Amino acid sequence: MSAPEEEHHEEFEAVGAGASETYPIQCSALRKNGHVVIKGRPCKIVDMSTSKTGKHGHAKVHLVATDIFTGKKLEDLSPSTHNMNVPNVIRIEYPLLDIDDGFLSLMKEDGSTKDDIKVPDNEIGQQIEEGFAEGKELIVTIVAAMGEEHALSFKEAPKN
Amino acid sequence: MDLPAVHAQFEQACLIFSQPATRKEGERIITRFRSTPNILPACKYIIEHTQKDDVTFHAVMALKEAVVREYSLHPRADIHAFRDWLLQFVSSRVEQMPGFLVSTICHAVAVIFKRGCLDESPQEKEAFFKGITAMVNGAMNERQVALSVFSALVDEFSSDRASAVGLPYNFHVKSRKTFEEGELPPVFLIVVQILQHLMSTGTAMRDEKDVHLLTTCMEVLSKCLSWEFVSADDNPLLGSLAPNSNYRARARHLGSFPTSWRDLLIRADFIDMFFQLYHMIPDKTWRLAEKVRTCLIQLAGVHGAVFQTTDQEGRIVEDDMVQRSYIGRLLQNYLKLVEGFMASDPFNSVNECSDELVCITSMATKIIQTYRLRVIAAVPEFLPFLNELGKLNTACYAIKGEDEDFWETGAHEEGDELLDLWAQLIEQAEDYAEEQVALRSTGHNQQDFDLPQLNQFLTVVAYHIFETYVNMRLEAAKHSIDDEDLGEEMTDDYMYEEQLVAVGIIARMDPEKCLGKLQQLINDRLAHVQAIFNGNNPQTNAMPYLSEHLHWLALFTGHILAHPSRGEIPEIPRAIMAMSARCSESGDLAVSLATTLMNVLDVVSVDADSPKLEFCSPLLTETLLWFVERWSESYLFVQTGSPTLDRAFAPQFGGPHVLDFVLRVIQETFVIWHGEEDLLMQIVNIMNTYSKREAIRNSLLTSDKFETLIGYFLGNLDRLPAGVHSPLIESITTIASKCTDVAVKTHFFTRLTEALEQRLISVLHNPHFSQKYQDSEIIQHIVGTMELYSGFVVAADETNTKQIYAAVSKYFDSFVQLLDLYRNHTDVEKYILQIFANLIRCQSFEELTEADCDKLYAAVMALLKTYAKNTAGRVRMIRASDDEEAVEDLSCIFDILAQLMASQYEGMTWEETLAKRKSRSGTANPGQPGSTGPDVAEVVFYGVGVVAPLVTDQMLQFPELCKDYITLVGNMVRYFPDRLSALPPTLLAGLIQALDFGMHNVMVEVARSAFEAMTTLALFAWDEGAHPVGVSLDFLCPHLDKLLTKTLSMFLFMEFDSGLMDSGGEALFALTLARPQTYTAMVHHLVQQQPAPVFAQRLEAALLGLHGSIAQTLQTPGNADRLRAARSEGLVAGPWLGPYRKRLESALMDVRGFLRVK
Repeated sequence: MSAPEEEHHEEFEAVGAGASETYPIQCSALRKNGHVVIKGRPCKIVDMSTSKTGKHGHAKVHLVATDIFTGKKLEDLSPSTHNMNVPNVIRIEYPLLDIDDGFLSLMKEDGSTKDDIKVPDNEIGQQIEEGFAEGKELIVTIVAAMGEEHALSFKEAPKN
Repeated sequence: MDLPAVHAQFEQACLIFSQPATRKEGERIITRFRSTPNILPACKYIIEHTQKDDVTFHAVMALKEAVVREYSLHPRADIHAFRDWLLQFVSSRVEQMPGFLVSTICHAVAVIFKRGCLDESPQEKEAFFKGITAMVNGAMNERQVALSVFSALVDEFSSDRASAVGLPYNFHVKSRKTFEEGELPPVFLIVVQILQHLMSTGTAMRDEKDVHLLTTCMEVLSKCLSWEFVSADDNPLLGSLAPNSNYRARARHLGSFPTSWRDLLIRADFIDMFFQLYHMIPDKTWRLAEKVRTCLIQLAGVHGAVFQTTDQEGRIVEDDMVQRSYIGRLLQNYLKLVEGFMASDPFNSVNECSDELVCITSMATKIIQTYRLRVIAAVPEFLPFLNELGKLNTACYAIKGEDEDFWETGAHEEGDELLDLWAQLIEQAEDYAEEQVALRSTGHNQQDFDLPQLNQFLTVVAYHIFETYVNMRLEAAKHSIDDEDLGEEMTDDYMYEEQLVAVGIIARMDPEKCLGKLQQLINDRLAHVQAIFNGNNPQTNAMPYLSEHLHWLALFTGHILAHPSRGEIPEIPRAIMAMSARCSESGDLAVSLATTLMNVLDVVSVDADSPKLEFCSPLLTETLLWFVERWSESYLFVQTGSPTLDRAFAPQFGGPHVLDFVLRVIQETFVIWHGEEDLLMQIVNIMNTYSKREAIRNSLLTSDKFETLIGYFLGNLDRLPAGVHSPLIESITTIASKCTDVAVKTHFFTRLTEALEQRLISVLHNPHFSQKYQDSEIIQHIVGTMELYSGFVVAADETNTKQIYAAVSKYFDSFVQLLDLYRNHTDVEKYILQIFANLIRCQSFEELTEADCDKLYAAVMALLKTYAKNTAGRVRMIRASDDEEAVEDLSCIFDILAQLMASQYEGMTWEETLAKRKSRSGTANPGQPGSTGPDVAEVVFYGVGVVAPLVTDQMLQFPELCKDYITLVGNMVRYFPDRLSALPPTLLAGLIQALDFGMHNVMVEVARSAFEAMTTLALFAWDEGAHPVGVSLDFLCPHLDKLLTKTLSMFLFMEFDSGLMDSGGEALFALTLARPQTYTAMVHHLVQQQPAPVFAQRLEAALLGLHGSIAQTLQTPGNADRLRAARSEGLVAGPWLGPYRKRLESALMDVRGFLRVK
């Protein structure tokens, strides 16, 4: 297999500073598995279909999406030529250093720590805590969008 | 056995079974009871003593199983006594018993009879039948039971309704044969007699019991009429034990009767009887009426040897006279039925008699489809019959009252049946006319009937039917545009394709009148649209109706004027050409209709900011463009020979003008309908159609409008739905590639490649790219660009590979870097992989230099390494609800690896492959620049190491993924069998497992390629094993043994597609060659498992004979060399394998009959 995993973590500006939180796109150009803002929430599109107001009407796009942070299902119907906002979703992987009082302590690229992400209150959170307690080296993926951040997944750091 | 105690336990078990919560437990106890030896007395005791129906039911089921199992253990007289006791039991209680129980007990009686039917003497069987016949003449209860036994007998001996009793295939077929030759005709005859008797007594319909009896009679007759007589297909190899399998073959046999049935079936009084009975039934919703209708439909399809006779020279010929008199009688009755039906004002209350309508149309369909026109058209009742059908068809399509009701009755569906029938009839008449011309040219002149008269009749009917259908569709507009429940993805031309094709055929019987009607309707609707657009008509809410009308009128016109394309240029229909030749200069409807529809297209192509856009229908534009596409294939730039058509559309006259118009409309459509994916895909279809026609293609490339179109497309990609990105660039590239003018071709290629490049570079060279690469805008841009490259490389062929490769390879490194950068974005990954997969699959490797190839291999290697890094630790969750999209990245990589191997070694012998591999590694001189890169083998083995561990059985359920994976594994064993030993054992086991999995794939081609891979692998082992100094094959043997076992099991015990006989047989051949000892051991094991010595002997003889045949084939001079030559192909085809194939077939025929049980 390849050389030991070298994780390069690009330096990102904090979400909200500089980069816009969202970007407008024409509804018909959205894709399944892509992202979209519905009712002010950043979502991942799980299903997309077009419908019409009557057989000879103009296409409308029916979107079914899940909130990327809460997993809640949201739906929207929009004319295909209208614009919708797409959230800028940033994913960054951090090695996990510690868990302190319900917060993850993560190592940034420059060696400093990032301590403002909560251990998620779900199965992933439990697994992270268990894995950490067993002394595994974990890499946690933090997803950020529209000013929110969340630990969404993790994996065990590849061994040499 | 303590019978009362057993009874009590059994009652308890049935009670447990009847509770949903404990059903499983109850089932377990009952099943255990059923398989206990010697339970017949207990069953009898329970049946006699229980008060509960469900307990009786379970006891009868247990008894049925036990008798069959223990038949040979008991004296035959005991078994018969049991059977007779059951009969007597059911007769004495039939009045109190529920129907299902009567039927269950009668089925048990039938199964007991069937079990003994091959062993017992004719006298024994006759005794049983005498008993039943006596019951027929006995009291009412006995009569009812006798008929139920007949019904059960016909079921149990039939091909599709027999109970599963654990007996072999051969038994089922043989007993069916004896039954149809022995008992079936008398059963049929007795039941007909009962029926006639009941009808003659005249009281039949007033007494419930009589009606019940009549219904049972009809049930038996209907089963007899759908009897499937044993045919050559019923052999152990092709025959199936599963009910409803091989539906098509079954449908063909149904209604086919042997000569011996002529006296039973082909009788006027017999036909009359069914119709008479039907008329006697006061309420046509009774089950009895339904059964009679089923029989009537079956009567309309009687065919086969029953209508054949022997001529003077001893040849078997169709007996036309007998057929005609049968059909004549049938039609006389049929006409009365239809008249009665029509007189009852059926379409105002169709709900009540729609079953009768279905019966009437089904009979008509059967009659037209079963009998040849030559026979049927000579029957005097034929034209009156058609006349009634015409009236009925018109009535079916007439929308009366509230149209919601109309659609619910389903009358229009029966209308559609009849519509299809007219089209079939017209085609039959055309075929007949052609036959007659051919016959006359050989001096024969046989007039079966008055063809001109029939044609004249059909021409008149055709216009009426056409007009009715068109009116119905236009009337239906209200219904269809308001329909909330829009047929999701179903378009009208797909959903109503059959009807549209039929309408096309029917309208071409009288093209002038039918096209004239369409012309008039289109003119009218267009005038209305224009009035609304010009503000002269304030009723804008009529627009959806007008759009719907024009949509259908365009569909009709397209189907009448042109045939669909099936790869070749479809000819203009003959009737249209003839019409065009008859026309005056200005009056050619073929020209004016097409021009008018294009005019409609022009009118509805409004400006993007026009207020009219609100009224426009994207569906109408799509349909009009569909018309343009279909019509262009036959007419645009074609020299037809018709002066009017040529002047309008040929290249030297009006053609370029029309093409210019189409391009302008396409451009406008792009602008106003950029959000409508289906419509844009229709544009892609037009482009694809045009790319296949040289004259149109060349004309496009010199057109300014085409250039503008490309510019618009490339400039507005992010506004267009993703689905059109790849296909559109592909068709544009194809059009450019096929250009014969080098300068023009270069111009377009430069234009395209520069545009692609710019899109890519504008992002990559953006100084903030590394910060902003996760922005959705950037991702959108990257994915769109990847799709463009993907579509671009799909257009690669031998004429343009050099240019395409040059344009793409320039950015190999960038693609790999993007894959690395987007390691956390699986949604971007597949688009990058797709470029490589498409390039490798489509480009022509002969056009590449060695340096090109080296560069490609290095890039693929880097791509795979990056992919490996990305997927390390990634958890992949596949849910049952996921579609294949979820594994597309794997599919791409399988494809890349398989195609890389094929590009190098396909079609080579093993020696050539080895030589090529050697020469490649020979040049890899590490000291020299440019030759240090990886070769195909390195790339492939590295790649397989990366992806194979990711594959799970669940993923292989996806048919396409499984197919790609089998192809990859197949190519591995084909080109690198000698290197398989280098793979980690678990990885190799995984690859072999995939072959095992693949051989049972429902897609025959997947199973076939799995077998071919096995053959290759086995021949490799056999060949290499012959050289003592070769590589050690120990690592391969367990895998070959497993594959051999699985292949042999499939052949012996399973139902498999007959298309696998050859490839599966070759795999068995090769595997046996490679592992002869395993084969022998397996044979020994299988033979030992057979309980009956006679079958054990047969099995042994068959399998050893097969082995002998393999050895013999190998010993025949030259064959060993042939096998070696076949190694790399995995195909051992050739006549020299014939004796083995025959042997395999006869061995399977010999043993599969008793090895498979039902």
